[in-house]
Amino acid sequence: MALSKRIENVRNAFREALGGLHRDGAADDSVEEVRRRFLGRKGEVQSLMAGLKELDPGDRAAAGKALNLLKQEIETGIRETREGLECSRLEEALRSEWVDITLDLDPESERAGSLHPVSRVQYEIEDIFTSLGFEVLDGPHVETEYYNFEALNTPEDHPAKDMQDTFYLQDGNLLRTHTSCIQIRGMERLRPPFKIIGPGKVFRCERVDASHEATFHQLEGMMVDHDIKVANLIYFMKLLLSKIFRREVEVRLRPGYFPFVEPGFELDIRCLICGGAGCGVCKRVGWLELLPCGMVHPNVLRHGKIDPGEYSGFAFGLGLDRLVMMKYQIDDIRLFHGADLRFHAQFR
Amino acid sequence: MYISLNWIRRHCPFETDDSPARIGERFSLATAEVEGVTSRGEGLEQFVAGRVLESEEVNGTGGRLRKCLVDHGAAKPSTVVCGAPNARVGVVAPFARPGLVVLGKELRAAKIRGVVSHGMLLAEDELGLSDNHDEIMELPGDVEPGVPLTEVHPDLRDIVLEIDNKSMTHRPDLWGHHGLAREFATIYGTPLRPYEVDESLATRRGDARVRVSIEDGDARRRCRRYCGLRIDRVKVGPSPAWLRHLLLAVGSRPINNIVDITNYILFDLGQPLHAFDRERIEGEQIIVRMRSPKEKLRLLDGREIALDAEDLVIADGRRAVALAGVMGGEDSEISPETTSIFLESANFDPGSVRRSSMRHGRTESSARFEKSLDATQARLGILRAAELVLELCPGARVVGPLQDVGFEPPDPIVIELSSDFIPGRLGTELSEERTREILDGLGFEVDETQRAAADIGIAPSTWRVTVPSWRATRDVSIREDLVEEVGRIHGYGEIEPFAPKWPVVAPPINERRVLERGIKQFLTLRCGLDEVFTYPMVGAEHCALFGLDPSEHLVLVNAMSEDLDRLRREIVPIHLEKARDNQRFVERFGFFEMGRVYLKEASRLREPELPREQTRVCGVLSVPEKDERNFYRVRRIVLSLARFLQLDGVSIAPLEAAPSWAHPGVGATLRVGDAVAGSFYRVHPVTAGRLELRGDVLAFDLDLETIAAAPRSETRYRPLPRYPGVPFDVAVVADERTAVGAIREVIVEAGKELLRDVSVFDVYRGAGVGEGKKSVAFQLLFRADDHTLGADEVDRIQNAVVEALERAGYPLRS
Repeated sequence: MALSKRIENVRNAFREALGGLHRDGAADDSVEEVRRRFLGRKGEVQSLMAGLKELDPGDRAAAGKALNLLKQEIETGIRETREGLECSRLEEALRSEWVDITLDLDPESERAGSLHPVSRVQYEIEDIFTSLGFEVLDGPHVETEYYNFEALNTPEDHPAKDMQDTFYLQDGNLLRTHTSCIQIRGMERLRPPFKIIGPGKVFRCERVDASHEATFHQLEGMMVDHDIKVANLIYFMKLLLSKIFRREVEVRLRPGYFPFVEPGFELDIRCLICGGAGCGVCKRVGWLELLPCGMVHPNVLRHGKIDPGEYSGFAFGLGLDRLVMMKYQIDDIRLFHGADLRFHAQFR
Repeated sequence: MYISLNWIRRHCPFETDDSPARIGERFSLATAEVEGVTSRGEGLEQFVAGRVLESEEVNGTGGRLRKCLVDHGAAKPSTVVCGAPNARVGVVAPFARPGLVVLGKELRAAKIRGVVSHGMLLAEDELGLSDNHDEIMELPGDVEPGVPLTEVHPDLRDIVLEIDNKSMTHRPDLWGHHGLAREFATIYGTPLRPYEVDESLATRRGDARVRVSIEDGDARRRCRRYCGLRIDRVKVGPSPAWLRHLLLAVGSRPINNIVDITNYILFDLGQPLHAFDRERIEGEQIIVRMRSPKEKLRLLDGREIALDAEDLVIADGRRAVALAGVMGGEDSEISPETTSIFLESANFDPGSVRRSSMRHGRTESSARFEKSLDATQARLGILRAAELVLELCPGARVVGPLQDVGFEPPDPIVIELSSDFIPGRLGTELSEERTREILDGLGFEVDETQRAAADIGIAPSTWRVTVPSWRATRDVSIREDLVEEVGRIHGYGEIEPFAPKWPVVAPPINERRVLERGIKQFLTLRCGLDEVFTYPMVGAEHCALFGLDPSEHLVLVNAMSEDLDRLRREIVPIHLEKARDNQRFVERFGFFEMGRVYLKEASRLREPELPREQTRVCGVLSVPEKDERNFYRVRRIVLSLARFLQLDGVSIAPLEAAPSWAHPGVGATLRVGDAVAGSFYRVHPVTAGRLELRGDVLAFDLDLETIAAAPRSETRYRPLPRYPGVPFDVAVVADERTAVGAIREVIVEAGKELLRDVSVFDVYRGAGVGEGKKSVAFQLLFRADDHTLGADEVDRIQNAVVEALERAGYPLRS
């Protein structure tokens, strides 16, 4: 038989043996057996080498080359099979390792703390307002009668000035009862047109229970320019509330009396829970009283050294605590100043 | 306050298909907040008139129970057992047969003391009409048995709106049904009937024998009008059903005809009246005056009050007989025997009444006067009341003319405005006709100045609007007030919202708030602390517990309680108390607060009358195990915060001016430049013991004002090193109390510009170091920017460092 034919036979035999190894899930020794059968000292390739000498010198080069190719193929096949074996053994070993993914054993684990829920909501709202071009202001907690009442057009014998509502200090000052004082402080610094908000703590002489606090939070807003109208106020309120609640809200205005606005309104929103059908949250009326607002009273503008003949504006006051309570369904307002970490842990 | 729609319809007979709830909603949207709508007398048609035919005592009940035979229109009368004292023969009362529901319970035939009772005669409370359970409700004696109650008294069916009083504090005109009816008239487009009185009653002949006067000075300022009228031959007795039913509907308990009439005028016109027993007025005079020194007054409700120097009283010739605008006195009260009365209908200064009522108790009367009532209605009220007295007591007569003292009609308020101002401010289309119609309906008179014929319908005209007296006492005075009047009746819901024109400008950034937020985010996210709020108020006891002088605090005059009666100067003590509370539930924790303290002795910049408020950032760590590392954790929080804020010139010094609750040895002061920016420390063991704190508790206390004012460095890029650095470890021995920072300074000084980094990697005490000594190991890194360091250079600089250390007294550890 011609050598070339024999080479072909050996190649086919090797391929078959290799296929067998792969098919049967080879072990190391069967690979070695195949290697010895083809590459061993008395193996098939060696015996072909011996046949090489018997050829004519003219044919020898071509046959040698073919034989070398065969040898390479066999060597590569054996090596790759061995590597494959090695790999699958490692895979298998790794697969048998196990980790409890439900366990937290990080020695360094330091949980993030939580912002106070009122801060969290306040910042969210501040961001909405600043994106609409509002400037953020604040003022002192201890205020004068002037900023808290007089400049806000509160009549001398208004019930709000009662000791039942307002904390007075021995020095004649008081704790601000609303963030509306920030309006006056804002107007003293700014010339129209301007848009401001003033979030902060406020104080009322109120008996504390699950829904009443003596220390709570408001966010005041004000916008002043030429010819600001009620229609503009409604527009802004709708826009802001749909941003805060992240959906379209329906609003309605009712007459409401606050000395620093004229006309003054109570703004209701269509109940977000029942959509207006009536539920426990809205006391079955389908509307939730959300915030007082109105057109800035001319006397207030005058106190801010702004000419009410030339400018008008709107103002509103948002009760932050109520909003936070609505958002997280918190049923006790006293938790806000209680520093009970079991409460705060829920906001981490 | 309650609104009876039956009552409203006496003044404005409006018709509507609106449901009761919708009527309430429309009133809320136009006028004042309706908190509830109730239908009175629902189901009353089931009850029928029953006449008592026989009435005898049930044996052994001592007359407490009676066995009555009741004719209620059925073929056979029923026997019922009744406990009412007025269940006598001939009485007609509402009857309930078995099977009906009374007060939520189904009525059944039942045996009571051996008598089977087939039904029940009803008292007003059982019908839901009032809380009267003293007797059965008596119906007119001529009513046929079996007639449904709602046919006997159709006016028992009513719709009652409950108004939130707070929503009409500014509207004196809404405190009576006539004024309320004006709103319904405008809302429903039905005319309001004018409040008619019999003028002839003001000019009767005779001598009233009571002379009314107002003292000059304070009293004169407080009493704007006093009307008085004498009526004789009155007969005190129960009021007729129509009057009782109206009063019951608005929650007022009928008493007797005279008192009921005064209450009727109160709820009808909003005008408080008072009726004196004229024969108990001494000295034939009524004087409106300030109280006399040490004067006392026994009020109608039986309380004796010591009058205040600021109290205005109504007095007779001898003593005070009423607290003006608040309550009458017991001495001159109407009694069943009264035959001659003196009616008072006055107008008092709202502030004066308000202050008196704050001192001595609020009443329906004071609630109205403090809203600033229209003085014109005082006369209307008394004349209408007199008319009713004559009607209810057929023999009565008015004696003498009406005395009307002190009234000076104020000039009417006239508001001038352009006819397009109202729609312009509302931002909606609204015709001049509709605007005028609304104003007319509410009683405003609109005068239009002449305008050129060519301008009509094109250019706005000028309106002069006269405010009616009942709105002119304080409520309406400027054109913006008219915007509200028109807007609310027109309906705010009719206004189409639109955006104002606004120039595009970026608002200035409030750097202070950015800083505050940055700090909060760092402390929560990076340091794992929870943000809390605490009250800014503390009490004297709290101050004493922490060695603070309570008198240095700003004190509230009207605190809710003693433990919250002054403004805090420190936050950490409050946090320590909160830490103790939290230790009951949580093992290890850390929290912080960014809050204000209030400094009595310092004032705000440019506002000397206000105290300075400082914002502090305070926090507490609580760890069950006492460990040195806890201190270093607080230290790291404070210093990494300073680094995060890029504060320039930060240093740490031994604790200066340590508060009493700080451990004097384990604590430090944070400085920024020369300024003290705060401190951090372990809590003093004595404080911890007193508070029963467990484990290791540490605190930090930073002053945000100093931090905000401190210079900050900008991050600047430096090229990455191009040549390798050479590390060098060196361990030295030092006294136990030597600060590592001092040794480091020696190294930094000696290492010069080639030293690029130095850090401590070990502090060791024990064998081989010596008693009272420690070994500190540093890792140094040398590097040059422009070449690779040669062996010579490295040797030289290493030797320099070692020599410097030894010279400074820190020998190498052998």
